[in-house]
Amino acid sequence: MQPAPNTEALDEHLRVVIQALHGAVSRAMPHVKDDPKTAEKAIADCKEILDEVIEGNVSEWLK
Amino acid sequence: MFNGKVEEKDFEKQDPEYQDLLRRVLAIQADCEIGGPNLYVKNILPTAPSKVDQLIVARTAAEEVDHFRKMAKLAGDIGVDVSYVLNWPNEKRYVEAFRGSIKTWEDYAVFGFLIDRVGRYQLEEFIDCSYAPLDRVVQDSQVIREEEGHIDFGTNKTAEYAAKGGESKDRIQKAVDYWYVKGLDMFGRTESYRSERYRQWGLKRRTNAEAREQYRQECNALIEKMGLDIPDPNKGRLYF
Repeated sequence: MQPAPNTEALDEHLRVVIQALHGAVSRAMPHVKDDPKTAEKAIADCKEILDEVIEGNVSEWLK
Repeated sequence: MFNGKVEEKDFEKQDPEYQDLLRRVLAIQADCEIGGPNLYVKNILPTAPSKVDQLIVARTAAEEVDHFRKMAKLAGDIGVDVSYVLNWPNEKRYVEAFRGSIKTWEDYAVFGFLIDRVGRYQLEEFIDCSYAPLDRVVQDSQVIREEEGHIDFGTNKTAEYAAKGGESKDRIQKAVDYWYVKGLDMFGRTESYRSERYRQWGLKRRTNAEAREQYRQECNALIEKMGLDIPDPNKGRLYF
């Protein structure tokens, strides 16, 4: 069975995206109260990453 | 009833009906996983009540994207490219519940309480299913555990709003009324021929009606415990 084109590349791209999101959340969560700026930056980063996911421009991702 | 276990290398040797059903169910599951973030990220991530809530929304979306990734990989490995659902507008989603947008925190809470709960039911269907790679994904506790985390968060928030009484309770009741029937509809038609074929091929365990009834009873008990009214199960339903 031939896998669909870009199966591995899409999987790898999404792994990186998910890791970046989890990294941002994990770094910010313990410091929400004592360092709100870090939390705000993490939220903005997550928003930017998720906006790209939702845009879903797969051909751009895999260039 | 088919009792075998199919590995990816043997997929092409299977009956064409089995191949079609597996391709279809993976595409729908992938679409449902990415459908959630498409409903709530735009409006809810920037407006959630606190920074902790915003981070929880981001983490929830990350987990759903990961569930999509896992389903897309399973589909891709048998030659099905499901990446088209990534740039679908919400109105095109396979499942009606994902065709709008979530604009209020109450709706986000109830979406977790009721719709992610359906998501758990759908994933549970694949436990011990005949396609071994799919069985392994759901047997790995991470996917269902994460889904349960989304459900618990939504359930707790819904209960908090209900407990506040007054306008808060009214708003959460309105959201429960809206999502309850969407959740019931997500199980599909009771007399679904395709649902029977999924069971025949060992790709699902319960009939649509059985799963819907278990879900209804589980939700009703929780709604009552929160002091909310159980919505009319027929009002606004599309599939019976």
